[in-house]
Amino acid sequence: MTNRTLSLDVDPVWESIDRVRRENEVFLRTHQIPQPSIEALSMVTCELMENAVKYGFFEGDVKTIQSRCSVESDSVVLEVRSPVKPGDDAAMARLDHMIQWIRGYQDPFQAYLMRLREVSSQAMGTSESGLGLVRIAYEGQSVLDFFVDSGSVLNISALHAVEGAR
Amino acid sequence: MSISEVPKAPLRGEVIHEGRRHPFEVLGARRSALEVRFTNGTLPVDRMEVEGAEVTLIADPIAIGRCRVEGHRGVGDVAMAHIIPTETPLRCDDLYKRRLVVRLDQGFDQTALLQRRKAEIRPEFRAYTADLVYDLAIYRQLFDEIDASLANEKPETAALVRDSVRAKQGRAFLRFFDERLAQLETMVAGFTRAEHERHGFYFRRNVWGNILTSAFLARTNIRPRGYAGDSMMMQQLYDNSYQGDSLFGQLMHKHPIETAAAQAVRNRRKLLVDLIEAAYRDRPDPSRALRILSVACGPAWEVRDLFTRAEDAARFSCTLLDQDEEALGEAEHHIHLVGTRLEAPVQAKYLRDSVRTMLMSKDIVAQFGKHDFIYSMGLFDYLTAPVARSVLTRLYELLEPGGRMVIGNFHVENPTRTYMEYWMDWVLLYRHEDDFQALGRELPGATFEIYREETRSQMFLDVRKPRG
Ligand SMILES: C[S@@+](CC[C@H](N)C(=O)[O-])C[C@H]1O[C@@H](n2cnc3c(N)ncnc32)[C@H](O)[C@@H]1O
Repeated sequence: MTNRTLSLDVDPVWESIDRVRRENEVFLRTHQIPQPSIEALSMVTCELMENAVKYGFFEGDVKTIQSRCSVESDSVVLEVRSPVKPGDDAAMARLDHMIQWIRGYQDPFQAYLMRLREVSSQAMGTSESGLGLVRIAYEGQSVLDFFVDSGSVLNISALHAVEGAR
Repeated sequence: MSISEVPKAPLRGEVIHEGRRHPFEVLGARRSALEVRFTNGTLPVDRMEVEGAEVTLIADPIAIGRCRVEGHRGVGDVAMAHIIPTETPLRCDDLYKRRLVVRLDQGFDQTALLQRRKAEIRPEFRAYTADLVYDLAIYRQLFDEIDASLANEKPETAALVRDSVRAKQGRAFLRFFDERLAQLETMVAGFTRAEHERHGFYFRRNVWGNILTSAFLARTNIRPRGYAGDSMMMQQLYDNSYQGDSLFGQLMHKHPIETAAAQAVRNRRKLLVDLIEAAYRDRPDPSRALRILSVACGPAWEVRDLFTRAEDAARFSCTLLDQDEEALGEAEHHIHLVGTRLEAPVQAKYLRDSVRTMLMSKDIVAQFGKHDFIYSMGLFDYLTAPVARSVLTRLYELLEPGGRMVIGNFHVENPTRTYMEYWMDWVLLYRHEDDFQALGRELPGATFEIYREETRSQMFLDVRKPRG
């Protein structure tokens, strides 16, 4: 049986985003994941990786980003791990609220509409809009979740149901 | 939605009147008005429109157009006023709290997008929804007529009549609702996830007026605290009574809290008391109180149930953890009342934290203590497997040798699932026995048992840690 998990350890640089996306794509294709799901998961990979590169805190012990792509019986789980600045509880609390808010809707389209209203009217680049996370739910058809481990590493995951499974 | 707190730096702006600029500082906001203080000590105008105003969020000022200025009467400070944007009404509370400029009418830009969505709805589903809306309107009008006829009646008489109507016609209506739900379940049974989402959205838009008549359905849909299952919803579930001003609203409230899933929530509350009593009898160290930890405790009704005699106060020591300050406050208030009633204070600790970030702690035992009985109800249905696994692992570290941990999760066979998703906009992560037990695969030495309560919608993972 082929290995059902692809783990990658990459440097926190922009080029890594595309590399992880490409390797995940190849891996998903070998597992016969349908094309629309591969496309959705590529978008999710890019979003999660971009956040990790942009907001990760690489000045501590952990210097890399870890990505995992696991094919399960009725779903694919993407995980991206990157260190966060110790003590940045407010940012994690915001992420928690945001994810619960998005997941509160049966149809992520609704969260997308609400977010779009704010972003289009914002007229400035203030607080993180959270639109990227909403796109993971809406366009990426994935359920987001996260935890921070005892080494202050943020593990953010996206669960994508493969068509046919509810 | 509470995404970010009020930023520290004050929000400032200027009103422009007859070519002159009058600086102000924003002190607070209602939905459509800013509460301000003019920093030069006087109002530029009172109860009048001004030609323009600007607010400075971070860098450049942003014009918010014509506004009305209304002085605060009756307050000592004469420079206090409300500013109401009239040219382009804004969500002033978001402007103040979240530093976002959101037009009140922003949603109208999306009408075309919303209308296009209905093209993706199956014709038979549209027909079902239209018929349902029509039939609900018939019932609603009939019940409203009875309400109207009782408007001038003596309250006791009206209450008697309402009881009788609820018992006969009300029950018949609830059966009608059951039948329509069964049809919905059959119709959507083969849908893909994306189809469920689209059809659910379309469905709720159509029955929105009915949803709003029901205190419970309105709350599950609007989620004022940003998440489903808050302490108010739990209270409604536990109360299981007719709530609301109109007969129709009362019935629309009662129906969803008579479901199997709602009964399962009530069942697990009783089950917990039994489990905790059993843990007390088997406690590893009889010389001290049984230490209990509830994770995502909510209003913790089962803890209140635990204390019925003064002696109970010495038998248990509780630690309650939840992300929601309001829920914790409620739990604390009621547990305190129990202690007062029994004249024996209950030993309880209240911790506000999210399980997603509590794992960050290096010394989790120092922070949360060791416990003999740990339980979590209504939480794991929101955690994906990677998160659920690590939460379970860390909780297991907090378990004393010989301790027991019980985790609840709705089962994939939850018969209320379609009702919850379509009517309540309440989505859970459902699990099978196998996925549930797999979460604990790596717990050292643990033994497991999995069972369900009477309705079979709620499943429990019962984990035991070996004695020393
Ligand atoms: C459905 S209620 C259940 C409450 C209680 N256990 C009961 O059975 O009555 C869910 C509770 O989980 C809490 N909760 C949700 N996500 C949480 C998280 N990540 N960390 C801590 N609490 C959480 C909510 O604040 C809410 O009070």
